[in-house]
Amino acid sequence: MSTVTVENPPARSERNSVWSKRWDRFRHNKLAMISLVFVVILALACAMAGPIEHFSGIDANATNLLRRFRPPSAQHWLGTDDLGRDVLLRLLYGGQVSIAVGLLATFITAIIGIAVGVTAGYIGGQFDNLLMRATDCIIALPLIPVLIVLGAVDLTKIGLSQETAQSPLAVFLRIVIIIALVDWTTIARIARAGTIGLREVDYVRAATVSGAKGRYNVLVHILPNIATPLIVAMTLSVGRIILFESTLSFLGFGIVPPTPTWGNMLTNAQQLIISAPMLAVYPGLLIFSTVMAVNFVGDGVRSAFDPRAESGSSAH
Amino acid sequence: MMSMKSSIAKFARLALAGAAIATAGASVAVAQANKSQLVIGQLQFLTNFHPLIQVNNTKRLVVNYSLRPITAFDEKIVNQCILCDKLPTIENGLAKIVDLPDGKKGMKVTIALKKDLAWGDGKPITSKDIEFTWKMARDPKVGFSNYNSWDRASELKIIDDRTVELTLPQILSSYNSWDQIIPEHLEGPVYAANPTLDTYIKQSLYNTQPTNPGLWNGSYLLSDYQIGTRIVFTPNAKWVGEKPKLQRIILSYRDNSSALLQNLLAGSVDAVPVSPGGISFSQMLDLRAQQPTKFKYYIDYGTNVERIAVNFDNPILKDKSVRQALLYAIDRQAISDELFGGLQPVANGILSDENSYYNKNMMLYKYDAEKAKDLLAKAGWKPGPGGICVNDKGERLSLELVSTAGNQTREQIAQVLQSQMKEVCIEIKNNFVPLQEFNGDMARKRKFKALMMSSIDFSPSVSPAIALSSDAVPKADNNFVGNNFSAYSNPAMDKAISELEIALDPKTAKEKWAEVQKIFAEDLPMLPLYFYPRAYVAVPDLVNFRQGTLDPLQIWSEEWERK
Repeated sequence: MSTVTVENPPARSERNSVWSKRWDRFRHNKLAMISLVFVVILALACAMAGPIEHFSGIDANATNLLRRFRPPSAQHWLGTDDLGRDVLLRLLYGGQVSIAVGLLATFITAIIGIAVGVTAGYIGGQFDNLLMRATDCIIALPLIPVLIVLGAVDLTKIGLSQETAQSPLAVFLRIVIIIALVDWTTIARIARAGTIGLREVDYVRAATVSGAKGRYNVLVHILPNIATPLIVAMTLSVGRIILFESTLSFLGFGIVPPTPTWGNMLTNAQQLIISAPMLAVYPGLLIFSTVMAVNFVGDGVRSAFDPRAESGSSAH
Repeated sequence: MMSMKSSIAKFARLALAGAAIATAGASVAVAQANKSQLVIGQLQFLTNFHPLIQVNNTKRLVVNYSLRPITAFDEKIVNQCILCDKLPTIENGLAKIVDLPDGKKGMKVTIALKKDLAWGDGKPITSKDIEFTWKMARDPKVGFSNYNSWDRASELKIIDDRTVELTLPQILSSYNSWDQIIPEHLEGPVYAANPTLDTYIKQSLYNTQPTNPGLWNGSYLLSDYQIGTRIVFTPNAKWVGEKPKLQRIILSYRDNSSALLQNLLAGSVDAVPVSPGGISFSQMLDLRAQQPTKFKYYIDYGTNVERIAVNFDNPILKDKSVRQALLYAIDRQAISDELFGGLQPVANGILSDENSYYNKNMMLYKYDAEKAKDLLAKAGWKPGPGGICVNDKGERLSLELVSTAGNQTREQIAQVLQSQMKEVCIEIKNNFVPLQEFNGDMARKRKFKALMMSSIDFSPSVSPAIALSSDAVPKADNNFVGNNFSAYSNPAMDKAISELEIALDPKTAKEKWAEVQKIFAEDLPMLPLYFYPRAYVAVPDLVNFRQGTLDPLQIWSEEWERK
């Protein structure tokens, strides 16, 4: 009977030094840093929409049919839209919803996807079969009818009052949950593939033989090593989810106008593409820039977490 | 070496010349082929092809290519015989006012079908088909839609193979307007085996075999379709009228109006209707400004009115002052001028001011925010927190407005209304629901809580009873037939409509229409917004396109030609 010794957890100072090395690697990645600054500034600007509206005295939702399609001016920096509303303020308010939906839904999607994928990959056998066939079923479902069914769920039937069920927070959470329920499959497949590849490698088997529990192996050996493809998949899904929200709005389950989102602003602008193309360009550009920036940040995080990368070598 | 280079150059020149000739030849062939067909871009694929059940504006624009009504109003607002031989009138003796056994006055109307009319499978169209359609219409378990429905006749007598005599239990001014008929030889057995609406609509051949030629009797047959994608119509060899000029009419479906517009610009569709079922009116105006000569723009006066149904079960809306305040608070002229270039005229009621029966002496609701506030104050609504009115009990003046999701024009209007209502202290909560839910639960089952925006067509042959009479409230008892979604009920209105329906001479009809409009303007059972003009955009080489017809223009589609 041999005695099993599990390695001691690293000391606090060592852990700090790992994080500072990662931070060093990240901040030397210029593209990632510029993107991070861009995302932070954009998020702050969006958060300031309320105070800006208050001080400028412009109501972002008040329509004025006599001021439609006004060009940029001192009062309306990006002009007005088809109902005479300030475009800049609506972009900032829209950003609040779009960024929040994008990030929160991606986070929930990742939790579900990683949990299913890693469990299936690590346990394997019939359990893997069961979970993956369930995943296939979700992938095989026609998206639009599923969205219609999920959107038609009456929240009052699960005990919420009419008022609560129709509150902006409930609508927001409903969208996040609907997206998370149908969009986790990509991450689950990536997580499973990575886990299957790793569970048989020598150091994982050695840890298992040494008495390490499954949870320890997953958290310490597997997850950090499959983080790269997962982070890439998550950053890509942020942009996709921002657009997904606009599809839901089109079907009538999204954020209800006049509350703007970049998605519904872009959808509405399609109709005006001949007469007012800039109304499509602004939200489109913001979605594009945000997705690109989040991707670069994700790439930077991946490089920073890569133990093989030397400090400063990952600068692009 | 030089000789090889020159050979390659020669070969390249020959190849290019060949390609050019082939391309030119193909283009000519395509151009020639295109002249014999018309591709029409559409939105909203039908849920079923049955011509008399669950009929809405979009369905009427499709089924009339291949199934013709007995009569229809043309662009001169003249009622025409389409399947009948001679239009029944009092003057020609084919319609008579008679005394009925119960002592009331009624009518007997004789309809004789044209000679040699046949269904697409060659079987003759006979009186039996009219009788079968009439029987089905009278069956309360089935429930036909109520556009000129056959159920207005209480008795039917077959005179001969082509002639029937219908008895109307009252005098009706629309006695000579009659809908489509359906084939007894095909639908008879299906109806016998499935006597309820739910089973019949599923088993009807219009649902299970819509390309069966025997179902259709128009100048075109529905010869092919792919759900959600396209419907193809080809000439009906058995049609006895003018032979169709176009060899194919293809309805090509797109997901949204922006895609329709881009396809029109790219040339992959030749024509598009302007709402319903096509691009929006504002898109058409934009297109016309950008491409004034590339397409022909047909715009004519229309009878389709955009209105907001007000739910009379809602205690706030029961109060007439609140309904009137709502209408005063909407700047409909600004909406029409700014969003629709002034081409969608403001609706003061259910009849347009271009209609000869329009009543000039009724109550009008010109935009007046102050008057709206006064009316609300009189009704007990005082400004409260957040600029929204409250009553003595502290209840907020908050109303939900339901509309169709994905209809950008309606979403736009809903936002303008929300903003304008807020100025007079009314909170509007927009609820955009999918079309299926809108037509089903919200409208037919009246699940909307306060306000619902939709359109309704009051063409000359349609009685205002379909939306204003107290027995047109959709409910389980009547299989949810009727368009009185507001559940408005006023004995004075019912009486005025009954008198209008029996008014045969124009002078009396005008007086009765004036009465109906006056009560409407006073009661506001719905909030009229504006009239949709009949509009279409098509390639300029399309000729004989009768756009201004008051019944669907497809009824005359055999005349369409590309030159």
